[in-house]
Amino acid sequence: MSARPPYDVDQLEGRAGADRHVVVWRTGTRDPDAPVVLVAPGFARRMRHMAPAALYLASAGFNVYRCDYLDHVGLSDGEIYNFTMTAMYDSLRATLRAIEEREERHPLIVAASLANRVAIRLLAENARAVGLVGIVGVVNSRKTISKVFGEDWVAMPDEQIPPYAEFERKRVCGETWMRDWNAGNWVSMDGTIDELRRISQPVANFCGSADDWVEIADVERAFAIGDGGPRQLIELPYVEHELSSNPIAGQTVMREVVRIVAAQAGIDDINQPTEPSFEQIAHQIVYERTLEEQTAASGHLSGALSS
Amino acid sequence: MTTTESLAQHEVLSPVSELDRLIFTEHGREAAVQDDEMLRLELVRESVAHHLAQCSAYARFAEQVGFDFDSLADPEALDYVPQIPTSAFKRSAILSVPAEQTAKRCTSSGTQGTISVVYRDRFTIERLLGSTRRGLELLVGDWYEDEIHVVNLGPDQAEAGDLWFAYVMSLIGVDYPTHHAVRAGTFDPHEALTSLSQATVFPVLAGAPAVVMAVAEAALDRGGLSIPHLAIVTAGGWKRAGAQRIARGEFNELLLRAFDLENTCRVRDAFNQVELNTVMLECEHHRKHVPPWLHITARSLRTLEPLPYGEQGLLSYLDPSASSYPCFILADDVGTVRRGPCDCGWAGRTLEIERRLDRAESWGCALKMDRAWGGSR
Repeated sequence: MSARPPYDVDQLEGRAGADRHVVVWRTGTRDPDAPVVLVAPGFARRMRHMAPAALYLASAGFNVYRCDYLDHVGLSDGEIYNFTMTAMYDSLRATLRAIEEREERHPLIVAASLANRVAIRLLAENARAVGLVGIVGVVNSRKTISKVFGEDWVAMPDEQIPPYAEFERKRVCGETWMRDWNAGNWVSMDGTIDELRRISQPVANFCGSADDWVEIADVERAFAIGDGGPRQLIELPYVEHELSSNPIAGQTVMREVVRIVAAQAGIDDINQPTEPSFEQIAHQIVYERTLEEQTAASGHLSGALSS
Repeated sequence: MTTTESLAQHEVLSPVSELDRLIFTEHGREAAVQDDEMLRLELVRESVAHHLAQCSAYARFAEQVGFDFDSLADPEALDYVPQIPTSAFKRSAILSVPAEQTAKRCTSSGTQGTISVVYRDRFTIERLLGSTRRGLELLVGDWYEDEIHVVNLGPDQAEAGDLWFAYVMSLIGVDYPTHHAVRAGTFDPHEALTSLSQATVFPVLAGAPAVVMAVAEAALDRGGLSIPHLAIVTAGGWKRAGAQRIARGEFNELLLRAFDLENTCRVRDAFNQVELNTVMLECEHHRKHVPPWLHITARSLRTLEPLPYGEQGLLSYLDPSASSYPCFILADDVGTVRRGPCDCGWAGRTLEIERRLDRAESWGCALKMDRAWGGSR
């Protein structure tokens, strides 16, 4: 690597239970007084895929934490075949604990896609988180997962549940997923709404009008009934679920995310934050992919990658 | 940028432009099949209006050649949008945004003498990358990032600097895990071969034809390397390596032998030049597909009048994907634009680049436009 990236990455470790390791990345100012944000990637995405979001927030003065999920793609323990919503929940909870051990300020969560549903539960249970900003954030997991897996497993008799679902050529075990989905009360929209009612912190969600995985009407309904605190829906005309494939829309979204995150964090002098350049984002993406490869190859956390 | 609707908690952001939907979204894939010329007219009209308003040099040029914006009312009128000879980019900065908004200074290799300089802002670069992704879909289909290993026979982004060809090739590393085979200015074909042979996922070899040939010859020196599913993308032409140039058929056969390829469909050429903001890649039938936003006209070498589809002429482009400079250019290449379904299944237009304009022809035609541009400065 011939150029230093805009932000070095500190590799940290979170613990879920006695023996499960969650790999956590920290980027940002390292200023102990800086506001803190946890950026949670969506299903089948790694923390390095959130590099642009992390860079926008770090450039605006935040200390940014991310994690890879247990039983998922990425650096944390387990394989995606055994993925469950609870694995995502345990991973984010472990990361919140890692943040609590290191930071004086309480974090705010920025959650992409399916992670939004999990983050809603974490906020309902943890009053210390400052707020939640969803990016194409899922509220009706049954509807979304039906689109992702291609069929509505909830409507099927148990014996017809396929042995696995395939997404982007990665397999997820049907039985493991369904057992957790039902037992963990992740399926219903009513569960999401009940939890939103218990959240007094501000919750926002960026939703694309062309997103057929997250319907804006569902988010409107969830926010209208789940009105435990301030709620904000930001609609993105013509935008699809895979926001990362449209960097022009992504840039607009990230500017607005920074604005709303700053407002939720109580920062009012962030009207003109420094925005990362194309070159900086491109360098950071390559740097983080290399860091991930080196960490996976060495089997241990190496701290910041020397550049 | 935001408007607040009647519900206090429901904001609607400004819509993503039709152009960006075409370049970046699923909607764009559907539109590529339709290749709607009315949509293309609308995109070019918006772009022309932007550059007339923001680039005083282009506005003067348009006035000098008697261009009436209101005449841009039907697809045939696209052929009469003022086009800047590429030689103009060798002489001065042509900008439609304040200089501080540019993100990248892009230079040609200067194989024909003076270098061209084009300034791109972030939107312009992102859209160029988007066109590359669209083109790569013709090659790799729906492969995912971690299923591909690219060996780029060039430097990484930092080492590429301003040199456009090297820079564009280096950007592959933003989308896919990539080994860059040029380090500190040194290219080692054997190291590239090692990286290719160690790939555990779908391998892609990318580079200028001469360096791809060097790697193939290094493979043959070892008795050949069997990677039947290897995809090879060439770009940039032979340039300074003109003496080594071999015919395309011979080149493909060399690669077939060197890597034991399934067939020559594994070898694809890409076309771009520093002044153009869209990359076009070949399909399996070795036809370069023109994306729906890009208008290409082949012109008479003598009169510069537009020629019908299928006739060979001087190529000129209207590319609305560039916002930082008017990408309405008269190029130095001779080629043919064809319309109609391709055997690969894609509809729309294809482009065949046949040769560079020779010096005598340059004096005959492009110079006319060059003089017109010069007169407007």
